[in-house]
Amino acid sequence: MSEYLLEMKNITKIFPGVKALDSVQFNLRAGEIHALVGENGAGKSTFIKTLTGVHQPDGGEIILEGQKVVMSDPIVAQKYGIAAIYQHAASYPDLSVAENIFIGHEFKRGPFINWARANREAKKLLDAVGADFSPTTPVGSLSVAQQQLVEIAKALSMNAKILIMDEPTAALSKRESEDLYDISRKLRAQGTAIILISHRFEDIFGLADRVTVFRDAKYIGTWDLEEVDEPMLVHHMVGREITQLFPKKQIERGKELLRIDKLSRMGYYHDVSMTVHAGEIVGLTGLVGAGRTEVVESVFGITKADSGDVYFDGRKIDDITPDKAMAIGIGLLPEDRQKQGLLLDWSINRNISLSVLSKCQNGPVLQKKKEYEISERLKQLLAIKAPTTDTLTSALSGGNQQKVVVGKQLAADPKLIILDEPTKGVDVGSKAAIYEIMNDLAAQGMGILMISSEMPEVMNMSDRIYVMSEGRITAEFEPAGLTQDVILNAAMPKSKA
Amino acid sequence: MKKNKLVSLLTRWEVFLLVLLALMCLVFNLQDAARVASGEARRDVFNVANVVRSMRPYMLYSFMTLGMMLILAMGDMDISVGAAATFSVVVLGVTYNALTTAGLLGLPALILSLAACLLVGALCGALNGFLVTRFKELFPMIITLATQLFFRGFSYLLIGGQTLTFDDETFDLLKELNSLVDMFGIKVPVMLPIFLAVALVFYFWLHLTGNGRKIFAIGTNAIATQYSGVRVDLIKFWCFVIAGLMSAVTGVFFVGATSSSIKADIMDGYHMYAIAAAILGGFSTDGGKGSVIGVILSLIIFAVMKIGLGTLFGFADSAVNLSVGIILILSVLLPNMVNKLRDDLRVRKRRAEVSKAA
Amino acid sequence: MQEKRKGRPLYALLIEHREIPLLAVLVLLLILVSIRVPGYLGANYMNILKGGSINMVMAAGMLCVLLVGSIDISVTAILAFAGAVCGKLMGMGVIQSTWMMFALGILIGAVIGAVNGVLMSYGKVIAIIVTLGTSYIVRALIPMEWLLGMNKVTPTELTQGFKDSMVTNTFLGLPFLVWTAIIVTVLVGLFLKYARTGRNLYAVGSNAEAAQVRGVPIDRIKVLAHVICGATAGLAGVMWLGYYWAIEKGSANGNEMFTIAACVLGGVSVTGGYGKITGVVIGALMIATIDSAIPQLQLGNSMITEFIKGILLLFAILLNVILQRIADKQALARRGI
Repeated sequence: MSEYLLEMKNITKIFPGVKALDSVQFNLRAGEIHALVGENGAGKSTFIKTLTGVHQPDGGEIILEGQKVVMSDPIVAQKYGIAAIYQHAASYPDLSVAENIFIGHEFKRGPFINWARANREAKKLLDAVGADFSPTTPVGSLSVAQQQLVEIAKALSMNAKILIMDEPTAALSKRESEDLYDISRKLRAQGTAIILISHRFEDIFGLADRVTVFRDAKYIGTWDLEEVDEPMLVHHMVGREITQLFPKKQIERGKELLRIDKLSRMGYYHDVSMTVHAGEIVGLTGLVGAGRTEVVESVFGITKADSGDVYFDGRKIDDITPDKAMAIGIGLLPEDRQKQGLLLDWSINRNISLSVLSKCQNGPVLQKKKEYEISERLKQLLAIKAPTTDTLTSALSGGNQQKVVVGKQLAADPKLIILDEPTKGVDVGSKAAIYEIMNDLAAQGMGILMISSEMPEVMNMSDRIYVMSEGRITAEFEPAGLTQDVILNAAMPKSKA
Repeated sequence: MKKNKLVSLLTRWEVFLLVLLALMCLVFNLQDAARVASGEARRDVFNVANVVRSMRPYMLYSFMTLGMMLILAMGDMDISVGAAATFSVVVLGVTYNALTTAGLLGLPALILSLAACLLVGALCGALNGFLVTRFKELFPMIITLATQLFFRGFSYLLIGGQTLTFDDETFDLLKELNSLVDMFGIKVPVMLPIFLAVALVFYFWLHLTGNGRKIFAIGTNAIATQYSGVRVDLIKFWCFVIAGLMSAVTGVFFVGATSSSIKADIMDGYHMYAIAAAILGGFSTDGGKGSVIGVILSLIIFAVMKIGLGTLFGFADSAVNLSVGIILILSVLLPNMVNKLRDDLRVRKRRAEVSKAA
Repeated sequence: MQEKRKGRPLYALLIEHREIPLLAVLVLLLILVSIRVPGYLGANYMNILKGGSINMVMAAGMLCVLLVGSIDISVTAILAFAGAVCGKLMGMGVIQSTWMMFALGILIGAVIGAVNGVLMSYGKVIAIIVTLGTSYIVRALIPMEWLLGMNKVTPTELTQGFKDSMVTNTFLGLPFLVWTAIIVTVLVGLFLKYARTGRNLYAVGSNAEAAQVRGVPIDRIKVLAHVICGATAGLAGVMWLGYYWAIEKGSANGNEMFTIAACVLGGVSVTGGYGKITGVVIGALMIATIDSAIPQLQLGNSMITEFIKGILLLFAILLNVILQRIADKQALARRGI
């Protein structure tokens, strides 16, 4: 028998339009924690889905305990002892905790599901992972961290040989993460092999034995954790020196553009005050769920704040709505490009013109020529890679889609542009291009408020940094001499840490 | 790129409808000629005059279809339009009766009643629009299911189970709306030119103005549209109001067609015709697509099918409904299958490249 | 845990059991009518049950399709078609037994439901369009000459045994019509609560993406839901025939809205994933009760029934949303931000 519990050789997966995996390799020993890293879009999720039988690979083979196997569907994978904890979309919010744990391998009494036994067994599992909620609670009413525990309990219930954790700590506090680490180590000691996908280097260096890197759907390499350090991993992940990424220029700071004064919205954020000046790039960071997005959404008028004031260009703005915000010169690049930013079934041209239709009208009638003038100009300016402006945005890469969304905002000639996670799911090449654009805009005197969870981006692109935690601003920094630890410390929830 | 434009033009639903219409005309013409040749029929029946004439029943709900178009373009659904139309004409009748009883006779009474009718239609739409924009957690279909029963309830509340009949000259003017007039040497239903004029306005609005573009944007992705600075709720509200107004208009024509008698259930279930006609015209409950031209074509297809299948081939009216059902499903199934095929081909091509490379 | 449960506010309880307020209204209504019309709950209420049981059977099937996030507006067309075919076959002497009628009705309905389901899940056609299409098709087939030519089924075509079976014959004092509704709802309820496949209906509707990564055969489950819905509609067709002794192409046209309304009143989520058979039963009873009880109250205009039905449904669905909003707000406040 080979030294590996699992070997995946030359796995290739093709989707309409993209090659999601290009002959990648992976192997796993029993009783190890093996980290799988790579940027968004590197192919990690697709890879996991070929292992769990959700997708069928178009090439390559999976060898489990020396035997070639075919994961024809997720049930088969479960039977082989493979369990996965997915980052999103894994639980059924309307169903109870016990049911979420045992769905697919229910306790039966004759043809019927034995609910009493399911609830009893679920209670045991919940105790094992340190959860203090009842097995009959609907999962939808639990917090994200609690839902994560349900997922882990589910994995435990299957007595998995191989456990896949996809970004398990993304929404967890430090304390909750520690708990998860403990459970993982316990499982490893019992001989379970764990595949850990994470963006947090502290997860990887604190927990993993080996690490495999994917980049642009290709296999880059596998190393023992002792052999690598953080810069090396980053280098493998992005494929170039990170310093090149951030072409930060010094720009003269202009007058105050945006002032948020004691803005509060119950349950989302409280007493938030900040300023953005012309020519300035201000970073706003914090953990997912800290309330950053909610603040800017209120500034842009998507939601209403309960109390507090917003001043723009020296004037107090009341009853703001997105159309008014755009009219006075505020642009927002929303967090979820595909759901909030773009009409994917529409062309580049139509997406860009949608935010400035009044400029393209002669009376009420649309002037297609004007639309194309605007969209062509922005396509050139932002170097959007597409055959024409009639290309559908669904056919573009993540980076180019993001540029279209930026273009939508620029078309309205904003004075202030708010970017919510501008480089999320964007390839390295486009990232650099987006940073370049940000610099140019700032140089033209535009104010930029950038929400980001990526520390290198925050530290290298910002002139000032605000940190939010649990709905409050917890710190304000100048980037000079700042280290990642200081920011993370400010971002960690105090109540739970 | 030229080729792509051609392909996208040819795969448009209106083109499919045109081809379908042409094919039907061809088959029906041949059958017509055969019948005349064999002596089975004395004259040909499948001609423009007859098609135009038989458009009359379909014109009845054509206005409602125009309103439904707006709703479907936004990806919403309004099943209360039939009930709203009924309610509006019930108000028309009740107002007219009240006014004549109060001594106001003749044209002024009719005009006031018509105004009340249209106002009620718009108010029904406004209620829908209000609820849809205020209670986003609920599907518009469920909201309008409730308001449908609500409007129906109002109609019954006003006139109960009785049938309002009107036996005076002024009210009989409404019957004129259902008459045929001579135009270009053939008999044309009065409703047809009125419909075409209104449809032209809708065409201009939906396809040529910025506001129309926004309506389709809402149907494609309402959230992203809101983030683009479009006042989604406001547009939605007004579209529902106009859909309600168009229902009331439909109601008025319907009273004309039913010889000026009004009952509290006269237009029950009418929303289904409107939805079917709009979907056949290329709109979808998913929103974001469809065209006024498609809707006009689908109404013509109804009329052609009625003569062709009914008179020429001797099938009952059901054959038309049967075909409507089939085309309805095909209207979504076909494009889906074409897309799937295209995707499959692309994947296969890539796979071939990969295996060649390996 | 126990203490926490006790301390939970009323609205939370109401949200978890959306059928409770409805049940309260139903009981209140019945009490009110009983006071005004002594003896209403006796023989009179039996009539309500009879009339309501057909809708209840269809609503049980509708629950299944709503759970998977789909919808079926062809149920009443299926009802008319299955009823017409069964009735005609009985008239032609092909079928004699009531049980065969049931079996055939269910079979016909299931087949049409399967067509709906396949077109919807494999053809990716939106459910409402598919079922609108099939309802056109199915209703159009009823009067077609080449297909039995059954424009109408008249009482003379039915055997006396069948005519007696539904209403006249009783068991434990309840007519067969009502027993059929009880059996169907119990079976659907057991299936949804205790069968793995039944739970999968909830899973697919609650989170299709999760169901996919966990290997739930989503498409097959959706087809199954439509088959069940079709089957109950077919059965309802035979019930209709047994109750009214006649059926025609326009029978029950538009009633599908009351079937959906029964589900919505019963707290079923139309986005899928949430809904209980108890709620649906109460919802269906509610509609049947209003239909018969309001006229008994003699509030003047007898047609006020329709008005109250409309207001009640509107009120019920808005109440659900408002309760949910209050709960969400409380949850936000608990976050302490």
